[in-house]
Amino acid sequence: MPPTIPTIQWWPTLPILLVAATGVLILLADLVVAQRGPMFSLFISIVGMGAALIVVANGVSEDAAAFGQFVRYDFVGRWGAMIVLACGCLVALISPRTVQLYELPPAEYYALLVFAVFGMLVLCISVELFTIFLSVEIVAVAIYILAGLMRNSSRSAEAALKYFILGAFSGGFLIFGFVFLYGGAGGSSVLGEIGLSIMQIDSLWETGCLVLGLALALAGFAFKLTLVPFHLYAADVFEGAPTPVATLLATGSKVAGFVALIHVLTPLHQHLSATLRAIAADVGSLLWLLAALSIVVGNVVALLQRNVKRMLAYSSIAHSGYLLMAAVVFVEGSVKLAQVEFVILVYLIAYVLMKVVAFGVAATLGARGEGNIEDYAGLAQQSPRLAFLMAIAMLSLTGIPGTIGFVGKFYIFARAIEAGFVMLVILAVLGSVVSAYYYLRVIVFMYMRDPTGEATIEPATMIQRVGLLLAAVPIVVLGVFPQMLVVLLSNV
Amino acid sequence: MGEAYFGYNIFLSVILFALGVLGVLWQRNALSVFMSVELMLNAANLALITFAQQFGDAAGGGLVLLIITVAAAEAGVGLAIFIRLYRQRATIELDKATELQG
Repeated sequence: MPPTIPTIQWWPTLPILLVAATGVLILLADLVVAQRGPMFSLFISIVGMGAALIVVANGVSEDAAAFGQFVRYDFVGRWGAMIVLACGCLVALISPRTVQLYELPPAEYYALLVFAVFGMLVLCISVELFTIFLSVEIVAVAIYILAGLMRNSSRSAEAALKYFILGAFSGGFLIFGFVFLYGGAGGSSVLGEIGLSIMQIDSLWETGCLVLGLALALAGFAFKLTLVPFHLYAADVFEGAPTPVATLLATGSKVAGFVALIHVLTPLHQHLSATLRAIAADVGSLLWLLAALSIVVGNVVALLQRNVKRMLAYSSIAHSGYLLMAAVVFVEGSVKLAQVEFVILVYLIAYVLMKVVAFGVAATLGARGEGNIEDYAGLAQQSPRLAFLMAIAMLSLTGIPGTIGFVGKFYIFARAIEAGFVMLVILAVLGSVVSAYYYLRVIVFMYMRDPTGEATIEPATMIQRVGLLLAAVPIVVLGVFPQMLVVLLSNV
Repeated sequence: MGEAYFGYNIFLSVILFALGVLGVLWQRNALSVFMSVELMLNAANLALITFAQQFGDAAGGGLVLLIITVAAAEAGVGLAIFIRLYRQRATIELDKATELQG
């Protein structure tokens, strides 16, 4: 029988090709039209990622597959892809001040940003182990370079070094775990097939391979998602890297990593056999522990931070903990798949928006915004609009009703209680209460202290403003009308 | 290699991986740490090719090439980062990389 040539599914492939082509185009355009200035690269990257976003939203139907079933736009993957692309656009929009201030090479910066987003996009939709590993590494390699892109800063080099060492280390865990999952499942690496072949498992040897693989892969994911106790690099990297890069690391790479984690855990959710149920119970308690530790340690250590970027790093560790609660519920399996995925997506949208605003204001303020919290004193008098945006982000991160941060937390806590994880929810609520202290401290400094010194604030450029507003407006609008999220996520 | 070596190869890959992890945790020089990471990746390669042979999955060999490519890309970027750090601080001992500390 002659081999059949697989037909190419063009629409599902198009967003991936678009983003990859955008990155290459930025580098080429820089060679040809170098004198166009940094805005030119920014423009191409926004257009490319925006076009890919539109294609995913309108041209790709749910459950469309491509690349021989290695890539599939299931509900959570398709939405994850859209969130990641939107996040890439927002990060590009808040970048110009940093690029200008620290004299980053614009074409390299935006091209690497787009390549990182490319990796995240593929990571969100890949349902095959080795594709997941490859896209994780694409994201990681792009961000190693981005973190160290401030050529005159030795802090930036140190951030790159730390992220590189721990990123490569966790990559090793991830791939070794994946290889054993592949081995335990009898030589299939597509996640759907793994789920089916696990059902027929009877030998101790295969179960052993699976458990070892799952444990190592989870450790790898925990590194990527900065979960306690795998979080130690996060604060240093966030502090040393350029602020928009820290934003991308905190938002896009966490969204993509979490979606991939959900894909890997999907066979466990379905509880198809007794072995799977037993494994799911153990994985569930492991995730429970990681979530609880992240919430407690993230919030408590954030209290001690004076540097704004370090504070935001520990806050994002705590938020990973809240998010992982949804994964605990997911693995436990009593709540329906679609409902857990909905909760996760709402939280991811909320998280991306508020982090982009918080980091975006810091980036717009330049050296002052990236320093200590004391530097924010009197900001409300000097730059009322930026102070107001920062206040919205802080209130939303705390989870004050009327902001999208509250909606995200509310859904997750409600589902967790429904599934019977009351203790975890109590911990999370206490964590949120503690977090109010360090978030509201920023507001207190901005609004109730007099400015120290006479630092003049350069007004935000048009592009920065657009980026900040695009992220800030939905925080309030979707916070006041959460039913819009339900409509959005069920219809499009 | 036949069936007989299957178990040995998997065992060897686990040992190599454990050595790599210990190397990352014990070594203080960035280059040695990176070499230990490479050992972890190659342990994964060995396990992967052994499994692929056992299950008669021809794609496994291709996937090994993928992991080797990733390791090469990481080496390219990582060595550049080490060189930059060395130029600025004249050392790549990880213990000395302590400028970022709260």
